[in-house]
Formats: sequence, structure tokens, C-alpha cells
Amino acid sequence: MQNQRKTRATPTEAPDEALLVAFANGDNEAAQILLHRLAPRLYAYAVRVLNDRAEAEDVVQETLIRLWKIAPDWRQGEARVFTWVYKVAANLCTDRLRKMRPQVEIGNIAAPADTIADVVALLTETQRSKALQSALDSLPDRQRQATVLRHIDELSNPEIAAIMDLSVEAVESLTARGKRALKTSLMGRKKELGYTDD
Amino acid sequence: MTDRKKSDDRALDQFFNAGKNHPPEPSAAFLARLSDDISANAPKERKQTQPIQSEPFGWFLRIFATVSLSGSAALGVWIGFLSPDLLTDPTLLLAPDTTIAFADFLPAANLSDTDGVPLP
Repeated sequence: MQNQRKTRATPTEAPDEALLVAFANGDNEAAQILLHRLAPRLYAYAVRVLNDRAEAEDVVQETLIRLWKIAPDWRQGEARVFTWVYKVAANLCTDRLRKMRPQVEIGNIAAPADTIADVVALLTETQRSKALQSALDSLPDRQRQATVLRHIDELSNPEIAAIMDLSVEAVESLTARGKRALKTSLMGRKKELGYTDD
Repeated sequence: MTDRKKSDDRALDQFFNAGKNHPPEPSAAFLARLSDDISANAPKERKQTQPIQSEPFGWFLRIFATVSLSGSAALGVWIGFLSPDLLTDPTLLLAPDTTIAFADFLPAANLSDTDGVPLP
């Protein structure tokens, strides 16, 4: 019966924290909005870090279940939902990486395409995306997590520091080293992937 | 910064852009599963405070206490009304030669004078 406790339409542009509080007050629609806002980003992050779609699904599901459970006790102003879920996901990824290592198989990341022209147009970029994943997978775990958060998810260094329980300086160091390692790994494949130096 | 380094940075940015443009996307089935989790983990209604369990025969004890209290009060008023001298001089109750008969509290019945003969 609790599913029927919707009270009113929730504005889709409401902040994450307001949506979570609305969910705690019985508005499941608010949680649906939050889900579609957070899940794709968390999933992409987890796949890039774990390079395993099944494991990434587990991480996202576990993270969101924890979020739903903590909703009644959520205190607005103390933390951002976005940072909180990334932190939980990052910790869950770290736990899994400890169990998974060593693994080298590259995941199959499919790109959506509707026409032949799209396939041709996407081919090189898809290859780039795969090469990036391959290079990311060669990085040490913490370096990979920080690099993905910084250069793909485009989070700020203070946000990454909060998520990974590090100082901002440590994050800067991790991402700089990660970037250097990626360059080394990718530059060898530059021409193979269609890049020129012009 | 050398030209080579700039070129490498640009290329690396292109890799990052490729990664942003082609994020791994969750399947519809997975999103549906996550959606189901919302209902399953929706906060429950707050439980109402349970009334304190009454002890066995509590109802009898409560009635007994009420009747006893009000009965004692009524008896006290009755005694005071019929024998005010007992209240004004309580030593009468303690005097050895004082006897208080039940009849003292029943004004309509002078039992000591009837000697078994019905009253006229």
C-alpha cells in the first residue's frame, strides 16, 4: 500500500537532496527521478573502473539500495547526495577490485548506432573509447578511479577528495600520474587509431 | 611546452571526449530492476506506539479498587450522619464499656427493644 502514497507531482528539476527527502516522505516518483539522474552516471563510472558490466550493475544497485534505506535519516545540508553515492560506489568498486585482481580482459563496450553512416562515423571514436578503457585498466586502482572522476565525469578535485577520502593534493597527484600513464599507454596506438600530429 | 607535448595532450583529450561521448549505458532491464528496488525499499509508515499491555484481571482490580474506595467513602458519611457523637468524641470508640451494635447504624430498627415481638 505504501506505493500508493504519492502525494503530489515532483518537479524534475528539484535538487537531489529535495528528491530524497520527498521519497522519505512517501513520494516514490521523486526516487524515480533521482534514479534516472544518478544510475547512468554511476553505472558508467563503475564500468570504467571495474571493466565488468555485471559487477558494475551490482555496485550501482547496492549503492542505490543504500541510498533508499538511508533516506528517512538523511539530514539536509550535511552532505550532497551526488557526493554520497559516488563515495559509496567508489568504496564498493575498491572492494571488488581487491577480489577481482588480476584481470586483463577488456569489456565489450557497444556504441549505439542506427545506420551504416552512423557506424562508419562512430567507428574511430568507438575504437578510441575502447582504447581508453584498455589504457585505464592498466592503471593502478586508485589512479584509475581518480582519473575517471576527474577527466571523464569531470568532477572537481575537492569533490574527488571527498569521494575518495583523500586530500586535494593527493587527488592532484593521482590524476597527474594517471594522465601521464594514459599518455604512455595510448600514444603508442595513436596512428593505429587514426590520429595524426597536425 | 613542446609541440609534441601539446599534440599528446590534444590527443589524450580526444580519448577522454570519446569516453564521454560513448559512456557505457545501463540496459532497460537493469533500470527496471533498480526501479523495483525503490518500491521494495520505500520507507515504512512510522509505527504507532503500542498501548501498554494490561496485566491479567487488571479490569477486575480496577473495578474492585473503585468500588472499595467509593464504598468506604459512603460508609464513612453514613456513620458520621447517624452517630455524630462518635466523631465529636472519638474516645467513646476506645472506652472499654462502650459497645457499638450494628443496630446503632440502622435508625429504623431498635432491635434491643423488640425482644422478638413485632413492632406495632
